[in-house]
Amino acid sequence: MLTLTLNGETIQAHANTLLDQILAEYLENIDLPFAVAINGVFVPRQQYTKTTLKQGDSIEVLSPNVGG
Amino acid sequence: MPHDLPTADSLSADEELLRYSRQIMLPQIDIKGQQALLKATVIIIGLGGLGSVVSMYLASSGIGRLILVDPDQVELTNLQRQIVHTTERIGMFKVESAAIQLTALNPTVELELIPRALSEEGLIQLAQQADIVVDCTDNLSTRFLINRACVQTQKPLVSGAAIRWEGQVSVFDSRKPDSPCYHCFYGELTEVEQACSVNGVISPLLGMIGSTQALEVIKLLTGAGKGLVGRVLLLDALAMEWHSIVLPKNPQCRVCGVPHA
Ligand SMILES: [Zn+2]
Repeated sequence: MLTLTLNGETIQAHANTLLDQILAEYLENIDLPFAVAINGVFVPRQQYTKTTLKQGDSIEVLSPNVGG
Repeated sequence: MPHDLPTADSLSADEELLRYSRQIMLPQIDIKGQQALLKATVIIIGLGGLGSVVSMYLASSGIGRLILVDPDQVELTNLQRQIVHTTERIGMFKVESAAIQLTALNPTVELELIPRALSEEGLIQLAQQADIVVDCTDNLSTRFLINRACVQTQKPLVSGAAIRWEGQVSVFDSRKPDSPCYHCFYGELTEVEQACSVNGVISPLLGMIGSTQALEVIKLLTGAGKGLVGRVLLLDALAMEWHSIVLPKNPQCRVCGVPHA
């Protein structure tokens, strides 16, 4: 098992879990728009199904901001 | 500063030095940086909460020419945060209302007012005569349009956004081959319903984000310091915490991923 953080909360995941599986499991509403950074680096959406996580990774889910 | 009886020309030069003296004394600005500001043309798109702050700081800092773009008119619900406008100017085009305030702040700044929405073609033409574009708009489709025009014309884009208690700022600079663009960041998003009328926004947040945008414009024009290219600065005003994420260029980006012809 891996210990990760998601928006500051500690979560557990199996080794080899992909980012899109984590998002599907933990996001309250996957249909709302969001962006993701891992360890402070933005992850393009095309990479969600190719990104595996390492012990201690910090996942940040950002809600988009387009207000002016 | 005492001086001999001046001619009209030397008076304006002296006044100019005096007006900007507190930033000219910064070694990173100096006379050379001030001249760069005075020579610059900056497009500000959106004269709402962010554009209010950006336009006032850029005018007072002595940007030579500001092009203001906004199709809207001033409304009562704007005034809580759109501080370039005033109660008696409700109903006036925002660009005209802003022009009154900016001219009062600094009559030497040249203003061009565009009280309508621009097409992508229109913005590309306009951007060609500018040094920097500042995005202060409030919706995703306009932000995408502005980004495409900036990538196409290779003009730096200083992008800010603010909603609720959250803000963000970044700089996308197509002159740099490794710079991401706005589409690299939000390109896969479609509809983001985020009007202030739905979500609300706390007023001084616009000051913080707009000021940061104005500061990045001045840094780009003068070459001072380290810019925000490749980073997105995020503000959580409730926790009062800034942090940044690294935003690499996406080689598969549909807007900036293909090399320029
Ligand atoms: Zn891009």
